[in-house]
This record gives sequence, C-alpha cells and structure tokens, in this order.
Amino acid sequence: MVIAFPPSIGRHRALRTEIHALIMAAQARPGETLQVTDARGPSSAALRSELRDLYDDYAACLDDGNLDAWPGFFTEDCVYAVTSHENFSEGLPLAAIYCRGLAMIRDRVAALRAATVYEPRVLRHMVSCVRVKSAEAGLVRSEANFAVFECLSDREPHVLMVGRYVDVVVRHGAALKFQERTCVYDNYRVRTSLVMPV
Amino acid sequence: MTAVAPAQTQERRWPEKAAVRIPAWIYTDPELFERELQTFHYGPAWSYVGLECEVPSSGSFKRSWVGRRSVIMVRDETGAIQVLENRCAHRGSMLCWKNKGKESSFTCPYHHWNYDLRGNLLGLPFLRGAMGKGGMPRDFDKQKHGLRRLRVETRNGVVWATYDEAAPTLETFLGPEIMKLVDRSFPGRQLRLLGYNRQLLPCNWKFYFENSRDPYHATLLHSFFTTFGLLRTDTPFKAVPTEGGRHGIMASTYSRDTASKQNEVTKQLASLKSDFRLNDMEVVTPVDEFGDSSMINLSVFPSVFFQQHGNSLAIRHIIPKDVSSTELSWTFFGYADDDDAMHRRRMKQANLLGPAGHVAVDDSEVLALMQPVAAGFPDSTQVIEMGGRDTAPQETMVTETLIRAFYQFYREKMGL
Amino acid sequence: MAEWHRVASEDEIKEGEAFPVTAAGAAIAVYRLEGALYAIGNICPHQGDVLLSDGFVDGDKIECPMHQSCFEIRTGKVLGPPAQQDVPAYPVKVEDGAVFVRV
Repeated sequence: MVIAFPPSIGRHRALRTEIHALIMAAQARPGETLQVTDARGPSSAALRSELRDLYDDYAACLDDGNLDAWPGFFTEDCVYAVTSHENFSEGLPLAAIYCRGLAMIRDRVAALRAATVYEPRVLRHMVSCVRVKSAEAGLVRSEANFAVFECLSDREPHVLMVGRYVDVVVRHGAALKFQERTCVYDNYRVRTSLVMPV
Repeated sequence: MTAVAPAQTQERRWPEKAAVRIPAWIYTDPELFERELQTFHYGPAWSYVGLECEVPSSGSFKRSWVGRRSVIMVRDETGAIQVLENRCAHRGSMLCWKNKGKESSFTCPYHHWNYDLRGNLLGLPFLRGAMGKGGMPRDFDKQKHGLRRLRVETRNGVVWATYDEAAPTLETFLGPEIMKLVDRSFPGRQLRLLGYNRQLLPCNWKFYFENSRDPYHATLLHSFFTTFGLLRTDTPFKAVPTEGGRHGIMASTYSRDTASKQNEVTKQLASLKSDFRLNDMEVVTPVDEFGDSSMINLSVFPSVFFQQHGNSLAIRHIIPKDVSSTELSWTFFGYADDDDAMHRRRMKQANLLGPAGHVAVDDSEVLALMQPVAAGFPDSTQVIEMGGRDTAPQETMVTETLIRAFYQFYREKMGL
Repeated sequence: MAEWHRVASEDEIKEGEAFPVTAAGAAIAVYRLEGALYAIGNICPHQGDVLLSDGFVDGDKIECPMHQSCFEIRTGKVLGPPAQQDVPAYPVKVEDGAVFVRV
C-alpha cells in the first residue's frame, strides 16, 4: 500500500487525521507493506529532518552560551541580520544586528566576550515549524519560527522576542550552513537590549 | 511633642549643594512625571515628530508621539505636513491604528466620524438622525469639532511640532549653536530612510537624557571603544551646554593616527587591550563626510538626540511612557545620493548603536538597573562634581558640566 | 447593453423623498424634483457601504447620512467632501404610470 503525502501535509490537521486512519487500516491488514513517499520526492523528508537538526543545533549552541561555536554555522560570505517585522515588511535595510561576512560575526563574538557590559542572563530558544520554501541547485530556502525566552539574573523569565528565521542554507561538505540568516522579530520594541544573537 | 509628617506628604526639596546633587525621587515620583510632561512636552517646546521622507506624498501618514500623546504626522493635499492629535474629537477613541500608511481621510473606527488630512471634521453619521429621530442638535457646528492640530515647523526634512501657539520659533528654540549642527546633518540634501530600531527601557526618561550628556562614562562603560583602541580620554573633546542648559553638544575629534597610539592616559585604562583588532575595521572606520573629522551628538530637550557616530546617522526619539519606562525610537538615515560604499558603511556602522549596538547595549543595561535603585532609595542623592561645580563649556571628556547645566535649567522650569 | 427596467409606479416617487430601487444589480434612487423624475446611483462613493437614500433630500441635493457628502439629484455630481467622485446618473421614462430606468 502506498500513501502519497501532498507537500502541504503538515499544515492540514484534517488530512493528517485521514492519513492516520489509512495507516491504521493498513496495519490492520498484516502481510501488506506500508510505504510512505512524499510528493516532492524521497529526498524532501530527509532534507527537512536535516534542517531540523541544523536549527536545533543552532538553538542549543546559543542556549549553551557557546559563542565560540556560533560562527561555525555560517559560510564565509554570509549575511546575518536581526531585524524587526516593521523594517522587514517595509523593505527597509536597517537591522539591529547586521553582519556582512563571517568577519563581522567573529567581531560580534569578540565584542560580546571582551567588551559588552550586560546583566547576566540565561536564554532559551524555541524553534518550530521548520519549512522548506524551495530547494534547488544546492541552495535551500527555509523558514522557521522562533521564540526566545530571557531570564535575567534576579527575575523570572520573560519573552524577549518572537519571530521567524528567513534563511538560505547551503551544503558545505557534510554539513549545512547558513549563507543568509535573517531573524525577523515580531516585537514592535526590543525589551531593554538585545545582547546575544538570535 | 513634635509631629512628624509621613515621608510621602513632605514637600519635595532639592538637596543641599543643589548645583552638584540630584535627588533620586525625581526618577520615581509619578506626580512629578506628569508635571514634567505639562511643563516641557505640552509647554513652549518643540518636539521632534519625524522626517518628511517618511510621508512622501499627499495622504501619507506616520504615527508618532509628543510626550505621551499619540499624534499623526500626515502630508495634506497641498503638500504641507500636519501633525494631528490621534484622538477622535467625539469620544476620544484612537483614530488611527496603523503606524504608517496612506489615506485620503481619517475615519474613527468607533462612530465613523470622518476627518480630512488637516484634521477638519468632514462628516459624522446620522448628523440629522435616522428616520426623523435622534441626530445632533441643530446648532452643532462641525467646524468646532476637528482634531487638535499642533503647530508645525519643518526644516531641511525634519518635522517638529509644539502645542504652544506662543512658543518661540523653532530657530529660537534650538538656538544658533544647535541649529548650525542640526543643519550639518540635515543640510537640505534628500534623505534616505534606512529603518528603525525601537527599545522599551525600564527606566525614567531623564536617565537617558543624562546618559547622552555624560562624556565621563564613554571610555569607562563602553569598553568596546577602548578594547579596540577607538576612543580615548585624551581625544579632543567639547562638552557644550546651550540655551541655559536646555540643550547640549558633545563633539569629539578623531584622527587616523590616534587610534593606534598609546599615551599615559590610555595606559591608565585597565580595559585597554592593544592586541585586540577587529576583523572588519570598516565597522569602526569613518569616512570624513562632513570635513571636520568630528563625531557629534546633540541633545535637544525634551524629545530628541541627533547622533552622528562615524558614518552612522541616527535620530533618537525619547518617548516617555510612564515614570519608570521610556521608549527609545531610533531612526537611521543616509542621503539619497549615497553611493554603494557609503550605504554599506552606514549599515555596518549602525552595529554600534541601537538595542544590540556594540556601544549602546551598555547604556540600556546600566540605565535599566538604575531605576530599581532609585525606587529603593528615593531620598538618596547623586553626585555630579566631575569637572567642577559650574556649567561652563569644557574641552574634556572627564566632566559632568552638561548634566549640571541641564539640572539648572530643569529646576528653574519645574520650580524645584 | 443598457436596457430599460421597470422599477416603480409613478405615484410611489414623491417630491422631497428618495426612492431606493435595484435594477440590473445596480443600487439606484429615484427622485421627483419640480415634477420631473431623476435616477442616480444610491451608494455613497466615499466609503462604499452607505445608501444615499437613507440621507436627506435638501432641495436639489441628496446628503449622505454618514458623512454629509452631497450630490446633485439631477446629475449625480458630487458637491462637497468627503466624497470626491460623482455617482452615476441614469435615464428615466414613464410609460402607463410605470417608471423605467435605463441601466
């Protein structure tokens, strides 16, 4: 038995339920093999899973405060920006953090390590809804939602920001790396400061 | 027996040695906060509202703030800029809910009263009732129920407004020294809007004003400068209070060779690490576009700073929200005729400022933690004696003359 | 192709009142002014969802009940803001006591 998943399957609860029922029905018929394919081809599910790992590893790196490892997620010619929904939707180029090239990413780490004065804090990144927008010629356009919780030294956690990653990912040897990562936050205002990368 | 009044009913008194002390209750007293808004923001002062390039054509609008009051900056049919209170003249509901957009008229969502781009009331539903019943009294005069329109002046693309019809002109308000330096960044060249950065700081608005009149902290708190050898205490510097302390100028002069040179003063800076070098020096290397090798920060009380840091040009709009919270709205701009290299430089150098700025983060972090201290110690006093006890202009960074001058002005206006 | 549509009896159209009708999907109001009949569009172009016939006939003008935009009954011409566009005017004829509008 073959069940073909349409590309937009993740978003449709009703369809998922239907498919679940089909799978249950198939399982009730022992001897028949169940094969699941994807309308975008067999590589798509694997890519999405690989992307999820990338996003999770990235989040864990920042949550662990492992800033030295953070530049390793980017290509040499990358563009990393953290900007507001306001700027992004108006097409305004300004970003709260704007790194053009890996050198600027390394400089940001150096500045945070050696210079920036900030209250101690713990961050948690929640990343969800990883989605592939397009994948061709070794270049993947993908997006995901993020929520960053911030816990300052003597207070309860609060939501620092919520938004989405708009990414261009390329294969770099065995790993996927960000050639572009634009973190578009939904907040109208940043709460006090944005110390760490998103 | 002597009756002792509870502390909160005692009259607020500025402490002894008034010229060089600041009482902490000025940052925490809600009644004083309201009085400041009345005295400054709604009084005879010009407030920054926005840039003309943000409202390019007739009907284009942008919401802004004068003090705690939401206003609409809109370009009318004649091309003139109007600043209207964002408050329906009927029941006071918020008229405009979008931050930016384009409208031919404004209609209140509540009862659909409709206003033109100059704030005149054009019409209201059921003025004459429905089915012969209800409606406004016959003598109701639509002309008397428009939106409140602020007095507006624009100068080289910058839009200012005041509530006070009797206020002096913008030119008089700014004074010649500030005017000259505002014109330096806004010489009438067409501006290019780069974007916004907005922060909500959990502190009283005056903390932010003082911070930008305090050159003493620059090489101490902002170790980014010293770590990477960018600004030093011996940098040629001017701290100039103007207009009786209302406004202030901080100007430093840079030269290519000072960045790599150490002297006795810099050796005293414990945080100086001369082996630190940035990988991308363009972030901190300005091109001298104004021909004076200067970085200038103007503080125009009560609403705005104009900051030129290298090639990063920013307007910092200070919007007081309540006694202990302040919105800091940054507008970054360049010029329409910037070439690609200059645009890239402005974008890169913007990394020093804003909510994630290599330098500006230090300020927001420190100021956020000053507020709970002031709240806990309202009767404590702060000391502002660096650089002496007077309010004269000084040519050093190690001075608090701008803060002293500001509080001299503040106390006089507030009667404290 | 415009066609004539029967929309009312002649005695239904009174001086000083708007008579709302629909013909070929168009919202129209018919008026009697100094004896003659006129038909103009009935939707205020200002904000689009208001019937002018709910407003006030003021001599040879109809005033929108919402924001008091005024239109000339004879021609549909807009006379005052906030509306900035005219409403369409339609030919009217009377045959055997019935009112027809050409839409």
